[in-house]
Amino acid sequence: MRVLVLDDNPDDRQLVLRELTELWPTVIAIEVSDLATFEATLDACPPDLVVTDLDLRWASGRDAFVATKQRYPACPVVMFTGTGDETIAVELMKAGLDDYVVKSPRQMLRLRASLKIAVESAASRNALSEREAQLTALVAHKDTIVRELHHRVKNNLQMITSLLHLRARQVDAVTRGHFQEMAGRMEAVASVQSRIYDAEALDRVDFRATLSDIAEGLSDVFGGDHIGLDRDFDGPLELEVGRAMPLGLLCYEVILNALKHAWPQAQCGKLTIELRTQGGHPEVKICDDGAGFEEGSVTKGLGTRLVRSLATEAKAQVMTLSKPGDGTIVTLRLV
Amino acid sequence: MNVDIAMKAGIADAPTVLVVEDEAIIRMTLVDELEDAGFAVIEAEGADAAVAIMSKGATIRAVITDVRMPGSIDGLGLAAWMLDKAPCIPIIITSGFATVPDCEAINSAITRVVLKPYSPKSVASLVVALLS
Repeated sequence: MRVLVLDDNPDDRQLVLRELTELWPTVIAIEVSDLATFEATLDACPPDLVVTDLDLRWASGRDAFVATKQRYPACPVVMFTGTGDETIAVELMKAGLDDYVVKSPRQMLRLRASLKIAVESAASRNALSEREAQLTALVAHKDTIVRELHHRVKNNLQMITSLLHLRARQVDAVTRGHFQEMAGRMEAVASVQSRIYDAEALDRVDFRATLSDIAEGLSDVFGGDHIGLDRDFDGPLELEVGRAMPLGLLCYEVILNALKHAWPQAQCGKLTIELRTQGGHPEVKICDDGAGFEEGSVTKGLGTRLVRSLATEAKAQVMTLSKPGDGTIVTLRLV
Repeated sequence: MNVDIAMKAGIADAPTVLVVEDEAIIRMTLVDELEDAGFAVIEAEGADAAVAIMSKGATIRAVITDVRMPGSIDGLGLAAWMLDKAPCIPIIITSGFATVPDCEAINSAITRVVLKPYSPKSVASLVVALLS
């Protein structure tokens, strides 16, 4: 415990020293009686407490207070003075002075309590600041880990799709199609993953961007040069990851189905993806101007099973409108 | 591919794209797609190798680079180097991070950012679009 005692009156300094020794028997109290010594002592080592008079003759207690706080904002300063008045006391307390004790017989009892409270409060403040710094560092560390994990997940998904693409090149056209579909499904999962906002909102996904990614990726692989892709998105759509993942895969299956079956002779056509909110319910509409089909004529393949399961998981209604020769509209409405 | 072999590849008639990616599998797929799209491809497993290839005078028409790679500079460092030394060559930056820093190299008019995971075919299409 190291205390600087600033007072031009030796008797008052002794008074303070006595209180300090009563409180902390091993205290190192340094009596300062000129400006140069004060500044040198202050610079040499941070004190645990400064007790100062207001009128020091060689300086003002106000300057001593400011000099202390400038160097060591956490160091408590108590003013012990016979001069000054309530206005000065209020002004200094507002500026961060820990306490103001008047040198009068009635106030003397307060000095010891004031010194003790000032030191204990400063210790609590310091402990709190340290804890806050630890927590800030912990949060920053957690953010780094989360970002790193996301980065690894995305890179690994990229590796998996790359492996599927590489293998697809080694097999016949039919098998290649299967590999490309699988790679596409992985890319749809990856699209959702890559659109998870950031470490601040890990459970939310920018689904508008996800839908755009999925449609563009599929159109690139299966659309060739004959299919034009239109995106008509009305406003943003933010979804929870748990819902965005099955909905992303559901959109993938429906768009893939359109690209594979709507234009069997590779005719020129247009695929339009719409995103809007109807009556409070977000809706994705996938419209093609292709061959269409008779209701009930669709085979029950993997795609159909996936659509049913994914729709349930995404809490989406699937409505299909199609007529032979008149294209198909599939509406996915979130309920 | 080492620099000398890469230099030979750069002589090919097809426009040459430099692919800078430390993950071999990801790099291979990009190379396949780019070759299918009619490009000659030079591979570099890091930004240092990419700088060496470009400094030797290989005729590169576009660069695709990952961000985080081992070496003295990363993909953003490569982009900054290119902004200084080869400002007319389009660069596609692929990143596994949700965001990339707001820097001069990224904001350049001929720079594109593609978030991982991406479809290699889409990246190849983007190169075609940038060069046409």
